[in-house]
Amino acid sequence: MATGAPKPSGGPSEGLDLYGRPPWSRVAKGYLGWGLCGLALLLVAAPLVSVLWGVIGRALPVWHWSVLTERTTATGGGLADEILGTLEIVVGVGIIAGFVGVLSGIYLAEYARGRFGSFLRGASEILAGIPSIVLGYVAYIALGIGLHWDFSLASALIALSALTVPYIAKATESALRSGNIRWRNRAFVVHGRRVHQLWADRPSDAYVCQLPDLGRVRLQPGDVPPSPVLRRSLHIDGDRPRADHRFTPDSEHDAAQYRKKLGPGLRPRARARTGTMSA
Amino acid sequence: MAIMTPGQLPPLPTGPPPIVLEGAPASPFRNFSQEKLPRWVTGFVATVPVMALLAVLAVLFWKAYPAIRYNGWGFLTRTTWRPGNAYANPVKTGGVLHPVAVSYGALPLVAGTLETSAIALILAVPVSVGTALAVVEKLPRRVSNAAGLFLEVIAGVPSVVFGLWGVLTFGPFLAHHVSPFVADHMPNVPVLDFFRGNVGYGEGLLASGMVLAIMIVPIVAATTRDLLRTVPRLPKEGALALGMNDWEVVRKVSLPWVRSGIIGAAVLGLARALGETIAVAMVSGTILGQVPPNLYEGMSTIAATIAQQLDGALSDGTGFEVRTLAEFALVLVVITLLTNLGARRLVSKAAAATALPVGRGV
Repeated sequence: MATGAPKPSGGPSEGLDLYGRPPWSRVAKGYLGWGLCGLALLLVAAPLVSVLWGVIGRALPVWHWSVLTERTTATGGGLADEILGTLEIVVGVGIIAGFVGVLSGIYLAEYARGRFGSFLRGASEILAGIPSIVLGYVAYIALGIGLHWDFSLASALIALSALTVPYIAKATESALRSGNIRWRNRAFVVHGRRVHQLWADRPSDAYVCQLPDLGRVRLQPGDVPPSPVLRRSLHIDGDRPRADHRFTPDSEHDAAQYRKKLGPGLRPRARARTGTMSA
Repeated sequence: MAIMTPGQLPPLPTGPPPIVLEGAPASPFRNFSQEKLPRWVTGFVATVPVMALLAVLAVLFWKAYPAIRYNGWGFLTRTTWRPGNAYANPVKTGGVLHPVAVSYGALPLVAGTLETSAIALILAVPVSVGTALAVVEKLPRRVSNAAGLFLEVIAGVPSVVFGLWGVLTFGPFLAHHVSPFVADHMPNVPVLDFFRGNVGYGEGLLASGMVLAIMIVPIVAATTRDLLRTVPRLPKEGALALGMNDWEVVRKVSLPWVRSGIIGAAVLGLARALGETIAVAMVSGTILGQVPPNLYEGMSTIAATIAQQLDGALSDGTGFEVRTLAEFALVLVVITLLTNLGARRLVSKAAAATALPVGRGV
C-alpha cells in the first residue's frame, strides 16, 4: 500500500491502495478459493469419467449385440428377459405411481391446507426418506410371503410405486404451486369476471381453463380485475408472480376481503348480474 | 399489422367495463362434478402415501416384535453375530422360538452405517459446493451447461454400476496407491491411529465411504448449482460495487443466500448414503460382528446386511433371523427419521436467519 494514503475504514474497501487495488492477501485468498473450486471440479470429473470409462471399457471388448435378444441360460446367454422385465417395471410403475403421485400432488397443491395438509406432506416426506431396502423387505414379507405372491411383478410394482409416489407428488405440487401462477393470472385476466367468480368459488375450473387460455392472453383496459385483492395478485405490470400472492378461497385473509368486497350472502355471479361489482 | 399513432387509438372507457359472463349457469351437477368430485377423488388418492407409510411401519413392527422381546435393549450395544445352532432343536424363551445360542447385536452395523455416511458427507459436500461454484461462476455458459448435463447424467447412474466400479477399479486403486501412503505417514497417536493399519485389498470402510461420496456428489452439486443460479444479481453487483472481488462476493453474498438450501441438499445426499444398499454391499468387505478398528477394515451397513442375509435367513426354520432383520430395518428407519428431523430443524433455523449478514459488516 502506498505510504501516507488515507486508509478507508470499515467495509470491504478497507485496505485498498491509492489505485483502488486490494492488498495481496485478498487477491491471494481469491486465487486460492477459485483454485480449490477448480480442484473440486476435477475431483468430481475424474472419478465420474473413470466410472463411465471403467464400466464401458470393460464391457466393450466382450460386447455382442445378441446380448439384447438372447434369453438368459444357465451358462450365460443374453439379457433379453432382464431388459423386458425392466421395461415392464418402468411402464407399470409409471402408470401406478404416476396416477397416485399426480393426483396426490394436485390435492396437496389445490386443496390441502392447515394441519391436514401438513400431515399429508409430512407423511409423504417420511415415506420418501425410508430406505429402499426397508420397503423391499416389507414388500417381500407382506406380499411375497404374507399374500403368497412370492417373487412377482406385482410385488415389485407395488414396492417401487411406494418408493416413487412421494417424489412424483412433491414434483407435481411444486409445479402447480410455482410455475403456473402466471397462467392462472392470465386466465383470470382473459376471462375477467368469470374467472373472478371461478377463482373464488371453483378453483378447479380455473385450473382446468388455464392451459387453453394461455395462447390467447391479451391485456385491455376492460380486463383489469375488479377486486383490489385480486389486482394485488396479478402481475400485469410484468413483475414476476409470487406464489404467496396467489388468491385462493382457502386463504382466510383474502377470502375475508373478498366477502367484504362483495357483500355477505351474495355469490359473485349474482353480484355481477346486479352490476354492483365495480372495476 | 398497421401501427397506430396515439391520435388513432380508441378512447379509453370511462365508465365501468362491461360485465361478460361466460359458461353455463351453476347447477348442482356441475358443482359436484367440477368441484366436489375432483376434491374427493384427489383427496382419497392423497391418503395413499399415508396408508403405505402406516402399512410399512405396522408390518415392520409386527414382524420385529418377537425379536425385540428376545434381544432386548442390549441389541443396540452388542457386537455379536451368532446365528445359533441350526442343527439342534430350537428352544423357546419368553414365548419366542429361536435357535440354540443365537445372539445378534446391532452396534457394528449401526457404526458402519453412520461411519460410511459421515465419510461420504464430509468428502462430498465441500467438493460439491466447490464444483457448483466453479460451474456457475467461472465456466463459460456452454461449458457450464455441458457440465450440468454431465452431473445430471451421473446422478441417474444406477448404484450397482458404482458398486461394480468400486470393486473392479476404485478399490484396488485405493489399496495400491492411496491407503498405504496415508497409513504409513499417519502419526501413531490416539484418534489418528484410526487411519493406520493393514490396508487390505481395497474393500472396507474407506472404499465404501468414498464410493458413497462419489454417488452423492452429483445430487448435492446439481442442487447447489440450481440454488446458486437463483441468487439475485442485485446484491452481487452491490457487493462488487462496494469493492469486493468475485471470490468475496461468492463467500459473503451467494453462499449465505443459499445456505439453507445447501444444508437441504446435503440432507438429500445423506438420506441416499444412509439407505444405499447394493454399492456398499459390493465394496464393504462384509464383516459382521465387529466394529471396524481402522479405516481400511471390512465392515457392513444395516441396509447391505439386510440385502445379503435375507436369503439365508429364510432357511432358518424358526423364522428368528428374519424377525431380527426386521428389527435391523426398524433401527434403520429410526436412524433415517431422526436424521431427517434433525436436518429439517437445521434447515428451518438456517432459513429463519437473515440470508445476508446485514448489519454485521462483511
